[in-house]
Amino acid sequence: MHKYILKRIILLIPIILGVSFIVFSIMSFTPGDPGRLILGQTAKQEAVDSLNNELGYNKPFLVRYVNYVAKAATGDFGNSYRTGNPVFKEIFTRFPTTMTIALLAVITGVVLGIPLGILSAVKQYSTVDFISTVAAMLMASIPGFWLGLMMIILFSLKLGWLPSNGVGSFAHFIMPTIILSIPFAAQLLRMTRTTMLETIRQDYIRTARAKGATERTVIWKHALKNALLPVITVAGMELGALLGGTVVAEAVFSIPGIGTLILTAIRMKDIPQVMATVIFLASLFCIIMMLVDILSSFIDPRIRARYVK
Amino acid sequence: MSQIESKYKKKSQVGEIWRRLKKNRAAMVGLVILSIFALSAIFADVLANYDKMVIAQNVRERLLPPSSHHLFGTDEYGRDVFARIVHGARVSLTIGLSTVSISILIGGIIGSMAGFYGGIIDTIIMRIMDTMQAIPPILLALALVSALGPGMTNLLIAITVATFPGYTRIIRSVILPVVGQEFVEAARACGTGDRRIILRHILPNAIGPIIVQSTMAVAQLIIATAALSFIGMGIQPPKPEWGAMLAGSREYMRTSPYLVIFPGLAIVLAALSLNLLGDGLRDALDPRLKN
Repeated sequence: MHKYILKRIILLIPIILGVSFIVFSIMSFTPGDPGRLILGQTAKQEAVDSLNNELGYNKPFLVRYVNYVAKAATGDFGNSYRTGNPVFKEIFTRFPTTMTIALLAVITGVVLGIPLGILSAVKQYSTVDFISTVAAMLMASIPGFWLGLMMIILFSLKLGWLPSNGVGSFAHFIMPTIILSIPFAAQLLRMTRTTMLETIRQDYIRTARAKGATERTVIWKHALKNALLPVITVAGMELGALLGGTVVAEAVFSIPGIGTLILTAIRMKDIPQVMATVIFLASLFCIIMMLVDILSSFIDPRIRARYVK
Repeated sequence: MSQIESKYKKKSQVGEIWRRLKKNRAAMVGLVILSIFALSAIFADVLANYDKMVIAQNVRERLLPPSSHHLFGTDEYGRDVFARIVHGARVSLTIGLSTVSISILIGGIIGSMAGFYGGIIDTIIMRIMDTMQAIPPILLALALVSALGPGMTNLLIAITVATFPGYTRIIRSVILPVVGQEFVEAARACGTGDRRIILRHILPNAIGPIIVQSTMAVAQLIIATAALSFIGMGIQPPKPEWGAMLAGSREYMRTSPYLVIFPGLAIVLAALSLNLLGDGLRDALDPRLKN
């Protein structure tokens, strides 16, 4: 088992290298240069050129890339072209906010989606099932940012109950969390419902019922555990996706998080910032997926058997 | 003789699927709504003159609420919102369909190669796909749009790059279980070329899942395009796009909420119709429900 974990961690390296290469290439194609960026629009061309030379900007692509990787391997990811601060300082200032929202969104999605999914499956074709399915379909079709805008109109402008931008109190997190959790909840609801339906039809459920187990035991002990497996995978993926995907929620509610950090950095061709942040997010994503796999193998002994040869 | 023929006339598979789909009322509703959008997109110029109503600014008529003259009101530049929504359908549907088609093509080729040839080719291809999918897709599209510049073509390229790894996986997962089977070996023994084997024998199995996945994907793409345009990294003004319209509506949220409501409703309805249809198709294509 430990060998497997170690193998996964080592596999991270080529993936992160690949990610860094892709992002570096894309950023190289973006128009603009760091010298102009740091010194501003009014600076003299000679000053800009000499700064560019200093930063090694005029060297060929591969040389720049290898230099970057070499420095990064020692832990030096450079300073942001925009603010001059070390890139990871910028990231860690904003990371807690984004992580909080992402975590809250995932938890809310799970709390909303799974119970409704179970209910739908158990009472298939009933009114509850119908309403849930329609609701799920609807929730998956509503763009998060539009829901955010509508909620601001209703809850901030008309009713004045919730703050419409910034961070500070728990209330500030409510609306962003809701708009991020709703598509996820919809997805979970449908997935839970489908897997539960499949599981309930299995023979071992019929056996449990024949043995006299109460319906509650049947559902909770037997059906649920099996249905939960793909759900965990999806939840992990969603957490990873949300970490990068809060861009839109942050734009709507003016939240200073990682999403806005990347957006600004990309727009201003702040290469060190973009590289460091994307690498950070991609690594987090891979680590989360690894944890999800390990968790899955603990839950399902069949998977564990596959990995522990 | 003809009586017997008509009684035992073989029903085509597509006809069967269509019959099953028709029974699903939700899916039919989706189909109708989608058709309305599609027709709006195709006949946009007939419904609303592009230059006069969509682009031309008319400061005297700005920010009018919905009326019989302007069905959905006018925006901050005096342009008719209904006209812009109709033309926006053209933009959104074009991007959605193009992206999916190209992604299927690219993903199909690469995924087939990975699944069919297996071994090291498979490993390399899937590692590259893993790497691409490790970057949050929105950010990947963002970075590409930033590098390529604004505009519809570049947006298309950016979103396609973010989308095709998913299709590569799907096609590969359809091909993998089939490749080891004996009929493939038999076809090879007959001297059938690789390409023909893939195209004629293996890929037809994939059509079902691909169609279902694609309808949902177009829905997601419509929302994604709107999101990117909303933060200013997508379709540029004055081109009408539902997300961009929402971005412009923010300033006037308080006084003219209809500017927020209508473009948003367009997005929701378009995505909803596609999701309903996709769901219905999935049920209709499921061979387990054959009766």
